[in-house]
Amino acid sequence: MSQYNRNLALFLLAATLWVWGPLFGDLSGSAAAASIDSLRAAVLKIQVTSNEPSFSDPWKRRASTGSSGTGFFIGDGRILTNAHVVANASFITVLRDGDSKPTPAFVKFIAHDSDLAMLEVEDTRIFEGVQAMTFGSVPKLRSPVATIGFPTGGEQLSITEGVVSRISYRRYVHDGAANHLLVQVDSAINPGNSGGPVVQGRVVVGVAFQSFTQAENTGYIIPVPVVKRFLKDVEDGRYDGHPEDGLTVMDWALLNPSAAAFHGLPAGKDGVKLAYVAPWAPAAGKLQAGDILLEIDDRPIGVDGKVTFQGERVDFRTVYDLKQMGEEVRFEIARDGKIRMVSVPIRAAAPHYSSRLVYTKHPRFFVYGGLVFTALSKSLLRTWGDRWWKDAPLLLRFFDRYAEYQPETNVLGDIIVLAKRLPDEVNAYATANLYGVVTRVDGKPVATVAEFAKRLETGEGEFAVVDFFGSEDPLVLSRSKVAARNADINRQYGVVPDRWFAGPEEDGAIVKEASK
Amino acid sequence: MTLAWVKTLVLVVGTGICGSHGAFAQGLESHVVRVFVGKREVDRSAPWQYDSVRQQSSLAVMLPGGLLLSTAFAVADASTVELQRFGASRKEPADVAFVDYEVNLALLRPRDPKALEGIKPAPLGDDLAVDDAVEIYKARDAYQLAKMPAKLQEVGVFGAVTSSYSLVSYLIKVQQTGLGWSEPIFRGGQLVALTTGQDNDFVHAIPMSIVRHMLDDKLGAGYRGFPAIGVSLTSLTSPEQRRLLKADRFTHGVRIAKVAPGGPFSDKLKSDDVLLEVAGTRVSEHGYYTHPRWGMVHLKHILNRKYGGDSLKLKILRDGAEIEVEATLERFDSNRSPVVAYRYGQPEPHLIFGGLIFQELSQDYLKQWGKDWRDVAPLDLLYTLEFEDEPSAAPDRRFIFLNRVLADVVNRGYGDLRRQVVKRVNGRTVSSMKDLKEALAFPVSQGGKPYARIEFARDGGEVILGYDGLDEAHARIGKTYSVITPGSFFAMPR
Repeated sequence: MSQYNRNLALFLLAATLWVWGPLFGDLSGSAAAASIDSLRAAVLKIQVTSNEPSFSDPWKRRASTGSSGTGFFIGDGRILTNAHVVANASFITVLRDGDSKPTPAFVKFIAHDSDLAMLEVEDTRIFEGVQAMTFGSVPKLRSPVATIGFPTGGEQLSITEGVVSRISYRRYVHDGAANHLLVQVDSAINPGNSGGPVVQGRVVVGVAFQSFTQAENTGYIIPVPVVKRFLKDVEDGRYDGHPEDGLTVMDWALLNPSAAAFHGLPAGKDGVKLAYVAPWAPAAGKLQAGDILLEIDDRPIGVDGKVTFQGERVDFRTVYDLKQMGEEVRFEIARDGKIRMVSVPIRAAAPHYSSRLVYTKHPRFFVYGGLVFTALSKSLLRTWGDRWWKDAPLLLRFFDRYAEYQPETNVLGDIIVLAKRLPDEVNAYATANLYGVVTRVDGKPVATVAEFAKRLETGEGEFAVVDFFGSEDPLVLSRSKVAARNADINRQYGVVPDRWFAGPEEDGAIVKEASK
Repeated sequence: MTLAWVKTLVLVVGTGICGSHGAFAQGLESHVVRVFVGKREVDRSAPWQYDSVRQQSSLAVMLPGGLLLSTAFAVADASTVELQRFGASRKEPADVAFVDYEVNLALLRPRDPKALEGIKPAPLGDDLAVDDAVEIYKARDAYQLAKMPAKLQEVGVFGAVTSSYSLVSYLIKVQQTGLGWSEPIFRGGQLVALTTGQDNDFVHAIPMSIVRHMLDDKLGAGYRGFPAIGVSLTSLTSPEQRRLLKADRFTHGVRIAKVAPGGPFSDKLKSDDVLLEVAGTRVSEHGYYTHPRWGMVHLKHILNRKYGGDSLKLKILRDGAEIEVEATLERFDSNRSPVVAYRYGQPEPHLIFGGLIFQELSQDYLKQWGKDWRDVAPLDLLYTLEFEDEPSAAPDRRFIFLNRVLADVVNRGYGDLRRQVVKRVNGRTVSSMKDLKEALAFPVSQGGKPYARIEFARDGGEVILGYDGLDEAHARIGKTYSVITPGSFFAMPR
């Protein structure tokens, strides 16, 4: 329960234009924001018109909305901001403090998992004479920081001071599932601040990105290691993303003396116990449930699952999470009372479900005979509203949370949901399995929406028989009847396109169009 | 099951408005008594103790033979039962002489046979027809019954209030609230039904034929009870599906979706058979048949008229061929499903091992999450109920779960564990409390010392706990948390 509350309470800071935040005083005289005047030229207001996909009617896109955020110049004509500022953008402009004319910009790289994006502008003259901002390191606890940006409530640049209050490994709400290192500051980060630099003296120590609605004056910033990882990741012209570990651990289990003795933990050694290794994990076959993780890359892991990282105690997964594809991570583990070293090559995880928000142009879907099948995602669950964790159908909530943990629901691909029926004579009796999860077509399992569509359309028999998880009532459709009615149904309900199988690489942000 | 919740609401409302409607009854006080029950439910989060006693009142009707008829719900979890005649000051102690939770009926017996002298058996009537006018009687005050005229609106088959048995029920339209506490329903001076709950404008009531079915049975050892067919059905309305199952030459017949293992027809029927007739009666594409008085009623009602031990003939269609099958029915038992449906009056099985409290997953446990429990109870436990609670060929099969941990030095590091379904203990599959006890009796050995290895389902991982010092830990935990019931703690069998 508390897990859900926390997730709901964290929110992102791109300002929709009708949201009003408090005004900020100018704190440029303070220690943290020393010589801020020379930095302000590098900070830009980003204005975005965006066009989100619809998850309830997946062929549609929702009406355009305007929003704003902040970005900053990092050299070579590049601007850094948050992914959520420019996600699903159809038009982007940037405006320097004091300038009157916005400049069109486009997304060069977008990292939804770590909520970062790199923009470029058509006309690089706006950066003439502007000094690029440079990066420092993870700020120390209790050290002062200044957040620079354009929060709603005024036009001018605003600077807010705060103190670093915590460094942890936590949920990034734009992604909805991923955890990364983040830094908590005790100053309010308000709508419009998103993507703005957080500085100590002249150097950037983080990017403002989310806040916590249940506590006052609590803001979160993306720290430099995560930012640098992004910048390095895109050096080859492609964003590969943070590696997923697929490890579930039991924190504290080895605090228990009999557990420590059973696992043959040497005196002075701590660690955490692996509860589950996902079959899609790069570590699958190398690590296994019951292993004790003692060290990661020579950093000792405590019974709380934490390591010392840049002087702070943070979750050991921080070390894994900051790796690039192609690198490796080394674990010292205890198994069967013996200590051994295990190297895990960092690579993209095999296809699997993860409980994420989706930022593709359309969710993956297929409409067949007026029946709308779509891939499960956290975005789909959110169509049940703020209380989706209670109001969404039990089976979908269960798959979202637990599917990977049991063989009978484990899905290496899409979780295909019958999400809607567009009423027509051809589907008049297909009322039983709404919000059901597809398991088989004509008796054979299907892994993805694309494969599902192909099976329905190219299957041999007159009847397409679709089985659903836990249901004793299959869907039976006449292929010839559907073929005869399909075009009419799609015309009648405005279903264009009638399918979308693309993955995250087909992002809704304007990447290529603007660069032409 | 929603009915059970309606009940609790009714209780709150009911006390204030007794007797606010309806005319005075005439003379029926000589057949009916008030029932006062002290209810004591197990504390599901600390299963060795009970919640505080709640008082509830209801009604009971005198039957020929000296027993009084009431609903099982009214006396479930009773620690005390008392009867009071209208106009009398004394409450007379009574016992539950017989109860069948599956059909929500109970028979009460005063401890002193003379205590209810002058209370006469009510004449028993027959089943009603739709639109029949009836009178519902509820207590106006300590002296008199109030009479409420009403009409039978509809007859349906629902899950019984106290079980998961599919049972026929009258739906009687009323204006009053606060009904459903075993109020007797009369027609022409004869008892025709007993209320079981209220759902907005409708009172649910048990027809007389169900009461007679129980009364005609052997009350005690040899009770045959009410059977079920042991299959789940899905409507066969889709023309495509009818063609696929070669049932398109019929306009009737319902699809058999699943056959319960261990049920009467487990080896005779299979999924995708089409059920055409039950006991010679034709069934519709939705599984209904035409009842002479009630109109279209679900075929499960045919089973309400049978006894455990009776045989039942079915006509089915399999691969285009009509086949007759016959099987001997058994008394239905809701608790044959792994998630415990009810445990009225029975202690909650549990076992504490090193402070870890293990219990059997039950609907009562999940109902702790309140009115919306089917939405807000822990997701994996709800999933277990909705998708894994299949009737089993092994009637003792249960889901054992770790409820929570009574913190102690012995379970350091595990204090935050809760609500995890147990998969294996010491390498043995655990699907009952008995399995758990047996598995714990065989520790795994590591370095010459005994350990328990408790593995959980899904992402729960495993717990390792040593046996050394366990008895001392149990003594300590018992003292700290006031667990004094014998058998609550695991003890190594000698």
